[in-house]
Amino acid sequence: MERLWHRRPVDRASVVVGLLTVLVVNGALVGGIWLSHRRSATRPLRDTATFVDARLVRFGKPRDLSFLPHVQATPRPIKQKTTLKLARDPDQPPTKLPRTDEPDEAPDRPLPRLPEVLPNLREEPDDRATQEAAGDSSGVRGGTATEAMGDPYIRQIMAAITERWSVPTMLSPGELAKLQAVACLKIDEDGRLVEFHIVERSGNSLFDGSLVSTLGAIRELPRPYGPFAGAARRGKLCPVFTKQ
Amino acid sequence: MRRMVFLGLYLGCGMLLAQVAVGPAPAQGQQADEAVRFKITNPGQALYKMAIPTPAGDPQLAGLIQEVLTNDLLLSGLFRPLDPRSFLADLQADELNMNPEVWKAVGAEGVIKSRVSQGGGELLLDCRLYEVVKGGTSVLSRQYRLPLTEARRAAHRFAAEVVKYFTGEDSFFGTQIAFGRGPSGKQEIAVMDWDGAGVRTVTTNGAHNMLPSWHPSGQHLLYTTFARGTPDLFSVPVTGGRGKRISTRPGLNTGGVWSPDGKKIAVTLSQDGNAEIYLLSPEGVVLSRLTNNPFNDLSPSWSPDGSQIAFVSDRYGTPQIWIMSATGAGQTKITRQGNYNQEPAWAPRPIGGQPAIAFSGRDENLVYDIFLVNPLTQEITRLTENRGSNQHPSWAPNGRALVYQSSRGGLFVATADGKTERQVFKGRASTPSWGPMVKP
Repeated sequence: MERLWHRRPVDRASVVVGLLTVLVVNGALVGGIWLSHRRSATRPLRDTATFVDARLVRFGKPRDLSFLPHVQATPRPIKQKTTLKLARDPDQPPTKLPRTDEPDEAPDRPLPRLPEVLPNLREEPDDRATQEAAGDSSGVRGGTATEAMGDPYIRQIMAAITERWSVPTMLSPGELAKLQAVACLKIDEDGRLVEFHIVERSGNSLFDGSLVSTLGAIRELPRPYGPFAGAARRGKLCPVFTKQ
Repeated sequence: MRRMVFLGLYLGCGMLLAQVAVGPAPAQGQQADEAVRFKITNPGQALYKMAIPTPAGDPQLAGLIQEVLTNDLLLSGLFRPLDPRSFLADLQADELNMNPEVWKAVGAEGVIKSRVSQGGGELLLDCRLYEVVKGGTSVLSRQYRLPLTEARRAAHRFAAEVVKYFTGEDSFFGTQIAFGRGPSGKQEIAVMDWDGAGVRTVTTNGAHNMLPSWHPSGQHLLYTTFARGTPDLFSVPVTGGRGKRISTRPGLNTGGVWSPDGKKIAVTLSQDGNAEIYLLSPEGVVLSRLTNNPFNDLSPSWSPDGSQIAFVSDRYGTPQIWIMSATGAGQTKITRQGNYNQEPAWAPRPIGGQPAIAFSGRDENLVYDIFLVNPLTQEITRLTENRGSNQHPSWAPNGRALVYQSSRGGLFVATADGKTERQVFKGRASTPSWGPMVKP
């Protein structure tokens, strides 16, 4: 039977060239794949972030509708009583007559009471506890909407943090309006906040400190579920903290 | 042919190894490092959470230092001292150092660590302030060496430094309060530190003395005395001594208050038949009469710039708060709720961005409470409720707190929003007056 191939003696140079070729080709493959992964890792979060719009219902008292106009019966005319004028007693000292040049604006209107503290889940007080804005008793302290919207898991995370987040009163409203910071949270399967990092600081230590204080004291959050569960487990759930 | 096969095998294995080495590619539609962002807005505003653990060192002094620091920062209206029982840190091991992770877990934003010792009759106090967000390096560090009797003063000084660090403002921790001390009808004028320490009597005439008022220098007090049987206006050095006569005219000579520049005294006199407000020189000479009507005008209080005076008048039937210029022009009623408002005290700084005058008003339950009125908008807010009957408010010189007398017995200090209150004097006391700013 004719041989289909001839066995040639081993040529060392060919072997070396072959090995080098394999190394170069595989090395190029590895390098290319590694570089493409690295580019996506070093790209700023802003460029690769998914922004989720979610809103929380405002916590408060149900809206008082009693101010709305309603039909009233026409009041009956009051008959003026006739009075008898008596002669003035000359022995009595003169009485002081009240000045009538300024109309008396309801002098018996009572002094105001202290604002009602709305009962809420969180014991720690902040100024939102006494706001009398109309809202829903099942709403969230710090919520702003009349209807909830957005991913349910994200809303639960927002609620858990918003309820607890407060900034020091030493920050003026004007300063507070300009500040924004971003922190990334890592939440495990059981809902434990395993770690958090402030990835974009506001530049104001009072503001940033409030995030550390708030997140540092949180032990449990809702367990990850839904399309953003993976991001929560990977530490890529990154709320943007801002006044508005 | 064989070479092609082997080449293909090599390439395939190479790609497999590369994938294993580098890791899996991101899932379709989302890269591995893609973050999910969402907004968290509308934070509340609350007091800065400050942890003040027990200082290391001498246990007796440590307790005193911790108490003074905690009280000062609490009543500054800016801080909420955390409950020491919640602290997780090993204070003995840490001493003056601070492990941020441990303090983050209790929600602290700031931590004050200190060490106190005594030797040779001297106190040695080392204090450090940390901001948890800035890690384990202190942002403020002070050491004090003072006589042992000055331990409270050392703590007051560091508390003042902390307030200055965060706000740039001077605090009231070194100031004093003057008040009438004793049973009704037989009170002497006394002075104490703002937190109730160091009470000492200034007048010793055995008569009824009341309504002290500080000179802006803090060196002497005006007060009303019944030493001659009728209310007269006298002045006395804060350190005590003989009273100096200012006004002993027939009738009332009461409620004298110095102008902010210390050059005039506004006072209530009734020499012309009924209570009217006058301006006197420091020697008691009448400079001008500010009110002139058949009704009672009394209890003057100067605005911080000295251009206006708040007072009480019942010319429209019930006592209400009025304001006028320092010349008596433009007299305007500013309270339009309640039927018995009195004892105005003009705030030295805007409260919530608005000018404010504190006063005591009688509500529908016939209980007196402390209120604020905005002289521009005439809006009234309440500071006290369901805490006995509270009267005669007087402002701290930086406007961050008030002192008032209470039917609960003694004097109380509250933050300017009324939310935090502490009793600073127990016993019979009335008509407190908070002294001017002095650095501790």
